[in-house]
Amino acid sequence: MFDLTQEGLAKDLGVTRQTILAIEKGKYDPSLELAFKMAKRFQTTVDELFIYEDK
Amino acid sequence: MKKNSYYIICGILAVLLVVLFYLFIMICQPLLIIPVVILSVILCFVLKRRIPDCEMDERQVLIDMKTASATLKAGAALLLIGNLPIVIYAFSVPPMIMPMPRFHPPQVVPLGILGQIAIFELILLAAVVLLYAGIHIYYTHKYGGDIADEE
Repeated sequence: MFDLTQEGLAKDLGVTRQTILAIEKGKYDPSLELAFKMAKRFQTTVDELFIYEDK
Repeated sequence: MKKNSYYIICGILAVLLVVLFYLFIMICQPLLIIPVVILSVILCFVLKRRIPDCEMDERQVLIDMKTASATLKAGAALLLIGNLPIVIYAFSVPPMIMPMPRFHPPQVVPLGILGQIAIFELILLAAVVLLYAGIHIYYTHKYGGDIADEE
């Protein structure tokens, strides 16, 4: 849909590819700023992009 | 400058420092090592800033912060445990110190109590550095740092 690579997304958001991977795998919770940037990049909202789970 | 070149230069600097350390022992100039180490640290710092692909994002900052905090706590405990016996020894009145029977290997240069403490402190410092590396690896793994994944 967005035709994005992890490398490209990382570059757009100003983070490393490892960070994108870690978020995808659920190993790292992004900061609010990064979450909003991601939501903006995917033209959606933060609560649509992320689901809160009790650990 | 590439990241690999930076690491190679750091390695060469480390070897050079060991050589200089030995040289200063030979010429009996202990204070010369201080400016040499300070210059090396400054050189490493300046060179690191010249690496264009040295990215630090929020995840790496978090890993560094957590590592620093954990190392500080563990290092403080280690230094306390390591140094308390020395403090007790320093403040002990002579009759309380019991002579310990042990072998004394022949020494080329007699090592005074100050030298022994310095070597002990260096060993503790090396332990703290190893601790830092271990904790860093732990947090990097915890926050998914070494995930090898295909696109």
